Amino acid sequence: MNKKIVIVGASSAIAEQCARLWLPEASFLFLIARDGEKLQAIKSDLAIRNPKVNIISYVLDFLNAEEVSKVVASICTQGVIDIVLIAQAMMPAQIDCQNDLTLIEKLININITSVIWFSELFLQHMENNNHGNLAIISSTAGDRGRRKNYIYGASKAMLNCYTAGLRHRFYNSKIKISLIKPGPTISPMTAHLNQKRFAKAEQVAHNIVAGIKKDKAIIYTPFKWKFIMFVIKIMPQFILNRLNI
Amino acid sequence: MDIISSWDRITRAPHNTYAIYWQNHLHEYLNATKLPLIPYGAGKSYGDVCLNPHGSLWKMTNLNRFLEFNESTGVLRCEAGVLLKDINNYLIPQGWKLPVVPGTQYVTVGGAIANDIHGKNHHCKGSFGHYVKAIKLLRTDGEILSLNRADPFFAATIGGLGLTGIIISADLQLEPTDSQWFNNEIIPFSNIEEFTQLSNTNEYEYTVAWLDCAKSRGLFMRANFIKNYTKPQSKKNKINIPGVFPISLVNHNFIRVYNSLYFGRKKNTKETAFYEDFFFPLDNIINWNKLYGRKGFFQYQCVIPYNTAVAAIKEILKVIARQQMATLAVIKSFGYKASVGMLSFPMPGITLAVDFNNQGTKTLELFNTLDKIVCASGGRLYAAKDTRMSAAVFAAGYEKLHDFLQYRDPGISSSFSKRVMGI
Repeated sequence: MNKKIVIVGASSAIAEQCARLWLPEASFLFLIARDGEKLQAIKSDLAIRNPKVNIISYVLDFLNAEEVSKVVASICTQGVIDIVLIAQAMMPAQIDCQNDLTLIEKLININITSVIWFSELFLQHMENNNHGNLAIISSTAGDRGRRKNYIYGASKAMLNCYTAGLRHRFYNSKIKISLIKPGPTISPMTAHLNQKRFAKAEQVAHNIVAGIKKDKAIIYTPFKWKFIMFVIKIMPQFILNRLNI
Repeated sequence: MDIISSWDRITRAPHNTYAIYWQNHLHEYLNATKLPLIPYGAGKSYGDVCLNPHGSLWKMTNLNRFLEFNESTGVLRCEAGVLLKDINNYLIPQGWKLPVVPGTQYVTVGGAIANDIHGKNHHCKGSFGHYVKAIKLLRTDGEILSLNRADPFFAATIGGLGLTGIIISADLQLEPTDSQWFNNEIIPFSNIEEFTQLSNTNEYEYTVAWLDCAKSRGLFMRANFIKNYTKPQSKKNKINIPGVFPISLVNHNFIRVYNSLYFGRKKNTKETAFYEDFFFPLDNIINWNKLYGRKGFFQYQCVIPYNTAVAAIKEILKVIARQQMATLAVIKSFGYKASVGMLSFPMPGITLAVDFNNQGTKTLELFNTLDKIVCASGGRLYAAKDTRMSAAVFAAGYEKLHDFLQYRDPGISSSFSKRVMGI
């Protein structure tokens, strides 16, 4: 197969699984991450799974606008990009966010600023070619503010609004925008929580890859979260107040 | 605390679990863990070698990357959490396969090494440990050891039940392959002597026999890869047992009917089988262990040396027929290749693996009787399938246990090691 696929935040658990699933249909996989050691391990792994795919990795500071621009430009010179998945995030414990202002700044920079930077830069390329799927990983936490995780949730809520704007902007084009809302997923990011009923990253990745293939606008994964969050969203506040969620 | 069990679902106990993702964070994981711990792969061993109830457990399945592959020599370096299934899926199309695989491909490389697993070709190819060239081992004091075959630690770690340290990665020697299809012939036999005659061959690389314990008859399967052969593989949907039944569905009536139908349908057949269907038939039923219900099930696997095997196995089958019906039994002859590990299970002889419903004391008493026969015959039991053997039975079967203990990591412990080694 011959797709050119970009994964930003490629060392995240979900992104790593997406990369594995995309191997059969990719000719190029561009992997972008902050941690060089982790990215190298992922790159070596993917190369052995499918030696026919060109795997190119980039390690950079996601909060350096110049570096981000250079990397995106470099990737876009290598041909028309088919899929961009933006996956980076951080999720500190809610209580730590409440007490540490610098943590809030870091969270906003990674979860919002860097996501929008990559998104807007890749969209310039996609717009020029009138082609491509852009997918952003948000979270069910962004659907409604709840006491257990509202600072992280707020950052994801911003991405929800941002992606809705993108959908409006590109509605009359061949560029497809997907907003991915995973429910709680087993990963290093959620290791500090009780992961007993969390979804596996492999399952979430499977749904993401399938959803992007179908150009789905909003992908809840696992699917049950679509119904759960519908109920949470319409719930009167006085009932939500009583819930420990 | 998470409830963790092994494949027999007999012991289901709370554990403090830690998921391991990255090699460059190993010391952080160690610092966060209250020792002792036990490493845990895919949980396909049957007993309690992988359990540490109320203690710490490292889930290794996310440490599952391929690291290096030499396309000329076929040496694959991979992390311990890689499933054998993934090695097959990705490397067979590239012309390389694992020389030894067990009855399921949903086991990790770490688990395969720790239990020195064997397969249908042991009589030709030996066990998994024969194809491990190097191991990277993390000790709980933080030291990382790079072991090769010359190190005594290596022999302690192969078949070492995870007790020498946490296996982080391994170098495996794969072998070339140009086919994914088998010619499989199924021949009936009516007693153990006939089985041994059929087994006495090197013409077939893969042999195993299904046994109807009640009637001491069975079906002998012998197969070879078909060279340079390919055909479209029909897609099989896997059956996923959705939940645990309150009682076992694998009861006496079912077994009697199934055994008769299976024997009648399969005897004297020749078929061309895809490697997954030949090696791993039960992998088509995901979570088949749940069919045994809430109580779980036992497996009793022993090996008896050739000079005493026929008599001992006949006696074992008589006792089983008298005391408790078996649900599934498999019998195979092991080869003469000396095992690598100090605690490796295979030795020249006949191995018998029998599944039983968990009938509590009745089943345990049966096993105590079988232990006497096995020990008197110079045989031993397989730790990977065991949840109840005594320290005395284990020591009787594994003469290198005393040597092994000096390589043990004091920060690692399992239910099995506590029961059988007192540590």
